Amino acid sequence: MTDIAIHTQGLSKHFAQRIALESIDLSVPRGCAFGFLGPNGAGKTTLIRMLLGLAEPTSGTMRLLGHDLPSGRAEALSRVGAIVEEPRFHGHLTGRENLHVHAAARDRAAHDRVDGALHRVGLGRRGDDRVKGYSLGMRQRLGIARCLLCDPELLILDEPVNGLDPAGILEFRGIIRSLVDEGRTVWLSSHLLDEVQKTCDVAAIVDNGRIVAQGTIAELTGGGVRNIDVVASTPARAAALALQMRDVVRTAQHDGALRIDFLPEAPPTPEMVTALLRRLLDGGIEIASVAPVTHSLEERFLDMTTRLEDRS
Amino acid sequence: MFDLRLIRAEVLKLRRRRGLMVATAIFTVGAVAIYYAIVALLHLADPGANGAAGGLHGFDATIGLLSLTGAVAGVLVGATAGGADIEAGVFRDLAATGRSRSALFFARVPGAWAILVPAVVAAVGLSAGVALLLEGPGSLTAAAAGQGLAASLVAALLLSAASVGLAALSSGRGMVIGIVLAFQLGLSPILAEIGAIGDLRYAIPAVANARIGGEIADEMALVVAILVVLAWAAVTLGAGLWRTRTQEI
Repeated sequence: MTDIAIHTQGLSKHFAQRIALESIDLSVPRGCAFGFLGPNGAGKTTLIRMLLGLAEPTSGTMRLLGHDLPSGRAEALSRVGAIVEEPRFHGHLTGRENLHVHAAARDRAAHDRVDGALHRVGLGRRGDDRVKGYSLGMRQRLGIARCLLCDPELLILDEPVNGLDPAGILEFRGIIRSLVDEGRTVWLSSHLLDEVQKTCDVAAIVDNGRIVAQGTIAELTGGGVRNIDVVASTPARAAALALQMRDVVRTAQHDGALRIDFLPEAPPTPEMVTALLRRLLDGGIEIASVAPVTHSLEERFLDMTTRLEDRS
Repeated sequence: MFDLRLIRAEVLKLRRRRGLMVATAIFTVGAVAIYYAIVALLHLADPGANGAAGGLHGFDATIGLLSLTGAVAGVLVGATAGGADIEAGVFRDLAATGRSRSALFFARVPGAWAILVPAVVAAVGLSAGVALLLEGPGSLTAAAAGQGLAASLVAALLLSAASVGLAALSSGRGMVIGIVLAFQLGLSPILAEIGAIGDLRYAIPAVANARIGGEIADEMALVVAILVVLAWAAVTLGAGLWRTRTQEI
């Protein structure tokens, strides 16, 4: 069994003159929560649709759970549960009946998993209600239950927390982590950066149909701390002393503190910070506080992706 | 190609539509019951002016009615079976299971027929029962009953299969219901009466169905009528299958 759940190479999709995806090279390791980030219209759903055989690529290759696509699509998809865009159901059927309808397209054991799937997502008591009476959150949970019918190795979830309230998001996050803990791979496509940062281990950022970055969340957020904020009694003198250090490249005032930037290849180690503070204290400067500065995925995302107004 | 679990799922989706089930019952058993009730009441009111409801005459009259109303039921059920998954947005999720789209498509036809066949058989059975029970011109024979059943089934099942295909082709049922009913109930009778189109009128499904029901036997061979019906089913189902297999969803 390969360690890679999804692998694409040179994958492209063109709609007439419009390029939806261009030369996508992507590797998703097994057994992790993978975040697929991108602004609206970046091509996230298009990629999912190609992986699931709902749309054909213009060029490139795909492998899913070790099977080449499209030749091994049936085998691969038999262990993939997916929600594409919002989960849709027959409103006149109950949640349980909808799951049985879906199970009919799966292996025979899928019918036996219906009750367990409903309970797992917290719909055990509402499973016999008609879906047209469900809230969006309940439909999302029923969508997850539908994914579980095939005992999936891989779950592909497209914007799964859309419409969920904070409690629902928290509960959803727990479900995702528990699925990953069971050894399943979860693909989480989202434009909600905070959600991906809190839920996923690995992520890729797509913009204008191209992958602009991929790696662990720590790698994407800049590999950890590169700056520290120091609140000092005489900031100007503190800045001058800090700049005398070999690995410090820049200082600037930032929200009442002195932000000290280190070389990208030399992030501040405890020894470096200790040396910096000793130099400042020896220079007669009083230090009120020292705090590391971490970059959020949101900052990195905005750095890398095109804003709407820049596209025109 | 035909998977019993998929067919059962189709039946479940149709059976749970209360309005559709009521309409199917009305257009099959209900139509026969209403016909006999009206004719029997008229006969009771004025036996001199209105003949008795039963016998072969009554049976033939209800079969003629069923070829219209049963076709309506067939269109409603077939179009719903053919378009419901796409309209509800569920077809994408079913296709994403890796299951062959052809298998998903072909399960709809027997699914629709599983609803229609009992309804049509019950309607013909009711008609035959009343025809035997009540007095009327002519006696109902087993051969006539069988021919009536065949004609009623062909009308309902052909149009339901065609509607499955056309609903899949158009990704919806509303327009298909309108177009097929307009063709069957409005355009077909007019075309059948236009002499200028010559033998082309035998290609009209309603004309072929009339032949299967025992009419125009001197004009059209039964085997030709059956081939016409099969050709219509093949063309419409083929179009729906092509769309189902090739569309990006």
